[in-house]
Amino acid sequence: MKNKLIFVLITFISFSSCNKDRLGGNKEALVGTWNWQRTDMSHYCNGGIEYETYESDTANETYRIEFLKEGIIQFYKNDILESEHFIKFNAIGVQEDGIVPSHRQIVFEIFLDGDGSNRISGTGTQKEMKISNYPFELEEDCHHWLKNYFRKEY
Amino acid sequence: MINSKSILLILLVNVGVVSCKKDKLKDEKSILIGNWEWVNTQHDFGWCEGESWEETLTPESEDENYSMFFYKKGVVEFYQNGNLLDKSRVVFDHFEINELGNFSFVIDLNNKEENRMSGYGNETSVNFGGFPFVGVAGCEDYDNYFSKG
Repeated sequence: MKNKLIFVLITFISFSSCNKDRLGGNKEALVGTWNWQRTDMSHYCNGGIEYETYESDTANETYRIEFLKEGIIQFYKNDILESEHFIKFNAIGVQEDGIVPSHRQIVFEIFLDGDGSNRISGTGTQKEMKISNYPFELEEDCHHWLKNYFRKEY
Repeated sequence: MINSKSILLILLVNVGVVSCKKDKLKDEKSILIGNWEWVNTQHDFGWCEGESWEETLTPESEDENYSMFFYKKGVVEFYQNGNLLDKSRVVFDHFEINELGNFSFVIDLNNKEENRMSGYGNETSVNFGGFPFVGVAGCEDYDNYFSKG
């Protein structure tokens, strides 16, 4: 009886942990390495309204996101893996027309590890994307808007 | 006496003709014939953030070349770095040219409204909407400039 219970629990955990979205079909456009280029922001952290840009060329840090086909997303800082999650899409849209495939528009929101309170979203083309909250995140009481630009590595 | 088989045949031929429609580039439309090389793209964006920014994309900044070739028979080919991306039939929704040789056009590629592209230009340069960059309506705009090669 106890063995059966353990078996049921293990099966349940296995199914739950495999509840990830593979990046097939139109999601395949995300697969690959995305390197951080810059972050643009409008803020009032110092009182007046200011525009600021952090650029990868001048920053002492590099960031990249890896989308793996099996439904895994990895975040790297200075080429060191910071975290890894399975992907569960809350929403995704990929433009299917447009003559240049790499210019077709993508919009997505992912629940990291299926957790709705830990999410990442992006918009852009299949070549360059704006990620909402990585590596820098909007602070409600300081920023008007903030955009993290990533470019796909070919 | 027209029987049902004849009606079916006429319908099929009609559907075939409509679905394969293309407009020859003759008379004033012949101004489009030939090779057009991408020069640059003016990108206006940020409207959805309440901002207004501009940037110029060039073959150097993008590390890519684009071109399109219009054939007299009513076919256009689109190229990226010399590789054929797409070949479509040209069906004009609109074309007009003035006495100075400035023209404007609206084309439905393969006769499909969802593949609508428009542009304007003259004998040597053309602004083409839809290739190589397409914007998100209401948030940004791309003006793609080509010169006759």
